[in-house]
Amino acid sequence: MKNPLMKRIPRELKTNFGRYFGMFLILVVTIMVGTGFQVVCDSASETLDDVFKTCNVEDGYFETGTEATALVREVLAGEKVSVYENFYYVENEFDGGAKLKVFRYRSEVDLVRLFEGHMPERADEVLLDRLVSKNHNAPVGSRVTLDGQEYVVCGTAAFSDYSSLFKSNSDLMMDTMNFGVAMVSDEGFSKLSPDGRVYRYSYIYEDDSMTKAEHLKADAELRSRLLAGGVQVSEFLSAENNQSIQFIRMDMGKDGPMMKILVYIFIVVLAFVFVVLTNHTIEAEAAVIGTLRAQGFRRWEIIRHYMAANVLISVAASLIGNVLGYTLMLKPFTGMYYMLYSMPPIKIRFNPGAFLLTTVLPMVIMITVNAVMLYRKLSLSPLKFLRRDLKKRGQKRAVRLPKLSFASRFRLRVILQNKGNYCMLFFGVFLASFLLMFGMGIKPLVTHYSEQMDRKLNYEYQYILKLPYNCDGGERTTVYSMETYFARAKKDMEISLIGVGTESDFFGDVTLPMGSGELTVSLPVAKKLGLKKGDRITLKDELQEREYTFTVSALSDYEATMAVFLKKEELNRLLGLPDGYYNCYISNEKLSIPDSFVGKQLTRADITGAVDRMMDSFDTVILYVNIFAVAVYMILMYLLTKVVIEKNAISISFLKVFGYNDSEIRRIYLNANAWVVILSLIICIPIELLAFKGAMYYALILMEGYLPFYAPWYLVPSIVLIGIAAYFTISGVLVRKIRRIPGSEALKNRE
Amino acid sequence: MNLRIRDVHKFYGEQESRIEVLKGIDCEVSSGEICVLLGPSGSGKSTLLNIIGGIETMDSGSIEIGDERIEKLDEAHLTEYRRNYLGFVFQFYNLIPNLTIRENIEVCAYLSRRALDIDELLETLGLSEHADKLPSQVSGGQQQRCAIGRALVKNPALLLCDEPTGALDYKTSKEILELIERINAKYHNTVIIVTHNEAIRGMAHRVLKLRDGRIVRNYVNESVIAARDLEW
Repeated sequence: MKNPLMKRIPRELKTNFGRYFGMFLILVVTIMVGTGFQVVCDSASETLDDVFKTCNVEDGYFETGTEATALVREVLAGEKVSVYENFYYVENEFDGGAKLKVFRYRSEVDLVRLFEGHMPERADEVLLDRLVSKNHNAPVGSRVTLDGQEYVVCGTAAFSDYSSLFKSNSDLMMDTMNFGVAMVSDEGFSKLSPDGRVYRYSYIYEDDSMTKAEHLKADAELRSRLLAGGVQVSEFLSAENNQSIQFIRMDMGKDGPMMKILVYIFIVVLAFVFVVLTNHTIEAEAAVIGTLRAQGFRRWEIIRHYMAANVLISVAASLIGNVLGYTLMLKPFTGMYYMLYSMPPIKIRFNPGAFLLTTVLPMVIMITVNAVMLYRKLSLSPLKFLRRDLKKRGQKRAVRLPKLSFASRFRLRVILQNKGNYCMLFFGVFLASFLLMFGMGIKPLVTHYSEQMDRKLNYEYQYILKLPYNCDGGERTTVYSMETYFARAKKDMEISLIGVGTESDFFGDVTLPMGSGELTVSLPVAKKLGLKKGDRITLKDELQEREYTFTVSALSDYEATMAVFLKKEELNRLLGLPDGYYNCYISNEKLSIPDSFVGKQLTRADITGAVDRMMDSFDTVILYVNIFAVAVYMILMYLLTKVVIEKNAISISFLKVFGYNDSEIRRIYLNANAWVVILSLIICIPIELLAFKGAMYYALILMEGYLPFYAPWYLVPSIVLIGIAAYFTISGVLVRKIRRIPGSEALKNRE
Repeated sequence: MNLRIRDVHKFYGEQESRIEVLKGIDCEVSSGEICVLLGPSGSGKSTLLNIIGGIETMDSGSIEIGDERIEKLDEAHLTEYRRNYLGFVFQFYNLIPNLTIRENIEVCAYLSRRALDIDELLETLGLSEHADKLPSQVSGGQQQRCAIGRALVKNPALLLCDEPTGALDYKTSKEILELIERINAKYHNTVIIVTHNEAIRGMAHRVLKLRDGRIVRNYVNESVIAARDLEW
């Protein structure tokens, strides 16, 4: 015989439709987002792995000031490494000012994956990176100008060594609007001026089974050999340290787990909300449960019965969320990756792992939490249920309250009576507020960072020379790059050393160190590495294979870059260069330096705007996060405060019999709810700020650069106001509910 | 199924506030008897009933029902004992509000392999025409009939009724007592009724009178009268 109690489930779902639908909705959205994200993340990861396997991605590259192919081959003859020319031309004025690296046709290393069109064959054809084509409105068939000559866009592609478009390897963020890559045929390349050409050599080790440590060692040996052989290496970057290659993997590596953790936190909170709501049902049906137990129903039969609706909703929501994740969410999430990264087409595959993690596991969490909590609740004897005495411990004494007005004490009693509900409400408010803080706070934080950079940046142009050039105007500095060990991330981090003249117009407010062996540290470096005055810092010169240890003599609030400052002469001396040496011009005016002498040119907009522009791409995502957060506020507030009213229906009915009017009753019960909501919103603020800071701290471990925490003044009040507005929106429904409780309720069911 | 109770003691509270509510109960109820447990409030009659029903534990003594010794059963076995041998009727009907009268009875039929025919039982209970109504749509007496049907459908050896007429008016109470009498005659279950209504002892085969946790009278009623003739 089928258990007749099962007949209650559809009736229960119908009677409490609002409750179950609200929970169902949050669960569906949570699982949908979790599944969609995980599937896209895993598929993107597999696609990337495939790229790595099939596109012959380099193990690293080095660049030389002039062509040195013959010398490089001679020096590396007999080594177990293949070196490929990977020359490119730097177009600094693409589409009105973007920087484009135009590579010569690649057939052996760093192969590209076509999105549409074909590879460049003719001299006037150019293959654009997909993002370059999209962001600069240059579709296949259109014409673009490179070095003053017209090229036809023959196709779009993903470059295997530029999945993340970092203009400079030390940048905090990609700059997909102002930087990109392209490829032309050999003939097309020879049409471009040799002045703007960069001689890059990409290398691949024969042994493809090397560990990370072995790679590091091999890189060091390769670098030594090149230097010893007289190759003038201006830049050496292993794939391991190349953000353009690695960033997407790190990003996916952290996004996936973070999303999973967020989904699980939501599921646990929702599971507890279910428990709170079911507890209310159990309390209301205590005598029935006692009777069923007395008739011989086993505890697990009762637990199963009271879990059934929750489990049914959870399973349905998980499955529907999963299906929606695979259908509705694929486009937005792949779109997000396509918007941020230059990826080959992502092949979506059914992923049993993602199904397990985002659908089965939440179900298991939900069922486990419900089962454990109900087991505890239903462990009382049948007699206790029959007597409606559901306290685990003995009779509770009334909490002594301070001398307050009667109404205030009444409200406090309501709060104490429902502390379990209010506790869950607190967690719900915390989660929703955290999402809202993230949604509303991330953009101001980034904008503030870029504004700070803009404010602190004292110059408009920076030219890093690849060959010495004497130019009128500008300030001559020495710029060099070294690495230091970033213990928190367990990896090396790049730091710029800026050698500044004593009479600098641009770094006048930087206190330069007086002695040798000392340096001044910029604020971002100090904060990221936790340095203070008097600390010691070790910098590694990877190119020269030397290490230097410095004492921090001062901190500078110069926030524009991850840099340390020395006197120019001191830096030159350190690098074994003559006193008057310089390799960088800083200026407020555009300088006329021929392209062939410029290794890298940066403008104010390049330095300060990239992060801002990147954030613009997230507008839609941020909007969705905010909408979801407000929905969570409203649904959880409604469900958990409604239970308080339902639980007190008889008391409310009594108050009506005694002569209290609706507004007086509202003041007692709804004000108790309102106080808890407002207090939760306020108490949550420092915890949310801490969590937000924690998330930033974690993100910064994985990122280059430093993003100081910032919350605009209006962030916290806005969150509190939105939370209050959400509560007052749903309190209208509660007012109606109170009004509908009849006075006669008090006179019946008084068992 | 015979019921044998030996020197049952029960205490509530601890240390100074410890009270002995059952002070060595000894009695026997024979199979198929209607036994009425009488006594004023606080005499221990409901506690005794709950101990017999396995929803309350005794501190010492023993209770034998057929081959089962209740004091030796753990919680899981007590559940099985209630499932297999007992039917409970309470003063308040405790029906499941969103199940119909028939479904409320079916809930306990599910627990038994030898459940009675539900239609026949509904007929006996006089509930056939209300079978598809919800509890809130029928009177208190009909709800109590349903509660009795729910306890009986398993065809239990022992039917325990705790103040079954406590919430009912005179006329409905008599109807319920007649029903219990009819059921006892038809299904031959042992019935124990806890009540403070002295008049009900008239329909009992055995009467146990408790006061302050002790049985003060235990006798077989030689002149059983029909429930319909009870007066109070």
